Amino acid sequence: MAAELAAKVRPIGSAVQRRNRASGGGGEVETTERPFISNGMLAVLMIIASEVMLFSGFIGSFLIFRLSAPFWPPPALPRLPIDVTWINTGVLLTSAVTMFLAVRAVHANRQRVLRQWLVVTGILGVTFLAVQGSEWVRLVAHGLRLSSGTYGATFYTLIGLHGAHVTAGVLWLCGVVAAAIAGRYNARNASGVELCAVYWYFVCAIWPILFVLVYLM
Amino acid sequence: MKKLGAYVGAAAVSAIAAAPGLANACAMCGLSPGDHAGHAYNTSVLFMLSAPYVTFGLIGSIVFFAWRRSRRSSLAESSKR
Repeated sequence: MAAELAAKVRPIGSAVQRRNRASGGGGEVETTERPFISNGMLAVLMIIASEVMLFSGFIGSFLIFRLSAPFWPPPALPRLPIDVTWINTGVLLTSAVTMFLAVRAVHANRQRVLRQWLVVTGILGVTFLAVQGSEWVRLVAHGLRLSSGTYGATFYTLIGLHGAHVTAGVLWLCGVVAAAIAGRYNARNASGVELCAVYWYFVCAIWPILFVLVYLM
Repeated sequence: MKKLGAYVGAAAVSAIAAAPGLANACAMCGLSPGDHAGHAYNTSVLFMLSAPYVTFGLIGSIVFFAWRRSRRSSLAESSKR
């Protein structure tokens, strides 16, 4: 009964693919369902859409505070460290490239290269977080706190929100690395790596926007 | 009923014509000259207005290209046979 029901339920946007399999004396036509976009990928895209709307709300409120302020940053508060953040931006964008190389490796069924690029991506993500953390510690020591008016509040909420997303991405990546070490991924079963990669690309793509708005504008 | 509607409409139009300041219902109309808040609100509203279109446009494109790639590969597979 459950098998019949499963056969009737077609995934969203599925494409029918026919395969001709020779069995015994005659050819047997087998019909298989193959969705052009997996349910997992659709779910990740929906999550990313909601995350984009969340970031849009925060950026919208930041724009109101930033553009209506006569002086930005306020004279008494410390300036944000731009040079270190430029390097950190490079680190995060490089991690997107290494993630892309990991996806290419899994499609080529190169297990060792896959593990290598996933680990490099994870290290770059952790480096980004560590630099951000040390930056925050220095800013707090210089007197920039969440309670330091709209400047401190918008900085910590926006950059903190992104940091939380990078942390989530690094944790997910740790799981993917563990699964890759266990040899669970190959060219046919690469969805675990692909889903994590799409989320990682999102995290990397949102950062330059925040960097320009919060640090450079 | 139509007559009443016409009276109400005419009264509303004449009230707005007599005192146009009453019709200024936007959030920025009471701001003092030189205040940047109007520009800030405008930019923010435009940004947030564009966000859903950009987001769903991007996701729609990803889904469309995935569908097109899948269709091409299935067509290529069937033409091989």
